[in-house]
Order: sequence, then structure tokens, then C-alpha cells
Amino acid sequence: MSDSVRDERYPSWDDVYRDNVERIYRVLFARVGNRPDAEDLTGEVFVAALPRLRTTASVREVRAYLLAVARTVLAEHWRRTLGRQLTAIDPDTLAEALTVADDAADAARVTAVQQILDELPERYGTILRLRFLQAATVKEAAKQMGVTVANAKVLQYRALRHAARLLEVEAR
Amino acid sequence: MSRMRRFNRYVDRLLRQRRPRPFVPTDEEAGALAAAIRLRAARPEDAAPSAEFVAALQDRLARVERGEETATDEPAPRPFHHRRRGLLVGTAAAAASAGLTAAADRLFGGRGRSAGTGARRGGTLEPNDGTWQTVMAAGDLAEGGVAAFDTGTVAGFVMRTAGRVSARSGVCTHQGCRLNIQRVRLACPCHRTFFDLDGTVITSQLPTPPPPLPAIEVRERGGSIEVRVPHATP
Repeated sequence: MSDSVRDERYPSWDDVYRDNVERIYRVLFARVGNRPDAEDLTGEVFVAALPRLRTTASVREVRAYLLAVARTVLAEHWRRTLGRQLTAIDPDTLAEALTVADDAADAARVTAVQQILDELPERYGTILRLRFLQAATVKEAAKQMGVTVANAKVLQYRALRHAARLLEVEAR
Repeated sequence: MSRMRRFNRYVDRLLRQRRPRPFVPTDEEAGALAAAIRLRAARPEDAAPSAEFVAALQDRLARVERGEETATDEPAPRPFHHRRRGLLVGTAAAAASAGLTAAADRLFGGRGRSAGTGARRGGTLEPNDGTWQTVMAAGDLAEGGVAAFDTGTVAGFVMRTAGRVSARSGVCTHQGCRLNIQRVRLACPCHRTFFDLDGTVITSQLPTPPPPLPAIEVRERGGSIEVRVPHATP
């Protein structure tokens, strides 16, 4: 803790909340992909952190602490819903979330996803674009692609598996 | 096919921004779901919290701070999991009384579970007429360790948490299948059900999750770990 924000402090709990609620929500939303869970988990983080935070802590310490709580809350969420940790908040993210502007992070995510979709075999890319970018139902996607609904579901599953492999390679 | 249906339902709910339902995915499904989350989360319009949510949570926190609401008051109950277990998600009172040391322990890699805090725990299996039987040397069970034992009449797991030894039945409360240790949980191979080390159900594919695993009487004596087992029935 030897950097310049060391002495910066939040004047009150309300300031802690206002400065961090969006930050924490975004980190969690990016890892659960849906609003209701992201909202619940964000609530959990702040409710858990509330009794523990001292106003004497520096801004940096508070942010790091909230992210550490978010990390635990997310891990617990996966443990109780799917029995395995689907996504995580890793220490690198911790550093990144403290510095990178939100818009830049959003833009980077969109670009990364476009790249993944472009790399997929054509039909896989098509179904995922229809479903994930154009919000088509399976039925609508099936119709557009000229396949049965059952085929569209299988196609979607295989496309996601393929995308998962690409994401893994990318993460290495 | 029902497997595919569960997977598709999860993706469907994700796309409609509804809360997805718990299930136990295979490795491949888990990877595919992580990809789906990544794709879904890239749509910037949902990436920021709504003003309503930010305001509502602020109100809720104010009520928690004034003691008008406890941390366990939940907007949306979830099916069969013990939502509030664990230190950081404990009740406000528990959270306030638990020290920061424990918090740090849990935050930074502490794997120990506080056994015995689950709201819905199994009872203790206590034979009316039993004998103490050695299952292993006390030195063989390190802090945080879990080990299977089988006396012929009783099969289970012994574990050491915060220095104390406890034991759980190793037989699924659903249809009696033998459980396996998987990292820090107990898995039933028959119907994809997972128990926490304190006996509570983590997830289950069953529509009604089975009851928690009962505890087994256990003690440390003369450098050995002993469990109380009933006399073998002839």
C-alpha cells in the first residue's frame, strides 16, 4: 500500500456505496450474464461488507475488499446453483477493475465476442448471432435457418461448445 | 434428452434475463454455459445496473444499518440451497460478531467450512447399543482433511475442522448409494446429488432434494479416531 491513493478516504458509507455499486455490479454481471442474479449478488456483497467497513480504510483498500467479498460471493453462488465454479473473479481482474474505465471494458468485451463469432464455422456463428445478438427465440432462429426447432437447439449447444473451446484457447 | 432440455432452459433464461435454474452440468455443458454467459454479458445495455436497483439497494442497506432488516431478508428465495451459509453471507448478527480474521481466512483461500451452521442438518446417528471402533490414527487426519472409513457396519467420512473431528454418514439419504469425496464435497454417483461436508445438500438433480446426511458419533482417544457403531446384526 505505498501508492498515491493510500491516504484517500471515503467521507461516508454512502460515498462508498455510490462509488462502488456500479463497479461491483458490472464485475458480477459479466460473470453471471443475467440481471436478477447480478442484482442479488451485488446486494449480498454490500450487505456482507457493510458491518465490516471502517471509514478509516483507504479508497483502495475498500475497493479491494469489496472485490474480494464479490469473489467469495460469486464462488458461493456457483457452488450452490451448478455445483462448480463456472466463472471467477481472478486477482488480475481485481487490478483491472480498479483502474480500467467501464466503457473501455464494455467495448473490449464486444470486440472479443465479435471475434469469437467470426471464427466459428458459419452455421454456428449464425445461430449464436441470431440468439445472442438479435434476441431471436429458438423457433425464430430455426425458421430463419430453415431447420427444425430440435435441430436449432442441438446447433446452439454445439456452437456454444465450440465457442467455449475458442475462449479457452484465447485465455491461454 | 432431458439433459439437453435443462441446458437449453438455462440458456433461454439467460437470454431473457431471467434467473436461470440450478442443475448439475457435465464438464462440456459447463464450458458451453460459461461461453453463453460471456456472449450474453457482452451486450452493453444490460451491463450497468438500473437506477431503480441502485436506489432500492441503498434503501435496503440503510435499513440493515439501522437494524430494521437483517441480512437474511431476501428479495427472492431460491430452491433448496442454503443461501445464507458461510461467514460472509451469514446473518447480520453473525457477520458482525465474527472477526475479521475469520473473514480473511475465508476470503483468501480458507477452505474450511464452519461445520454445524447449516439450518437444516441431519441428526446424529446414535446406536442404542454400540461400540467404539477405531477407524484411523488421529495423526493421519490433518486439519481440513477428509477421509473415508468403513467399519463393515457403518461407512462414512471423518473430517477435521478447526481442530475438531466430526463424522458424517457416507450413504446417500435418497436410495442408499455410497458417496465419493470430490474435492470438498460428497458426491452421490446415482442421481447427481452433492452434499457439503456438514451434510447439507448443495445441489441435486432430484425434484425433491434428499434429507441431509446424519452425523456419526466420533471421538479421539489414545491417538486414534473412533466412531460409535452398532453391534453387527447376525
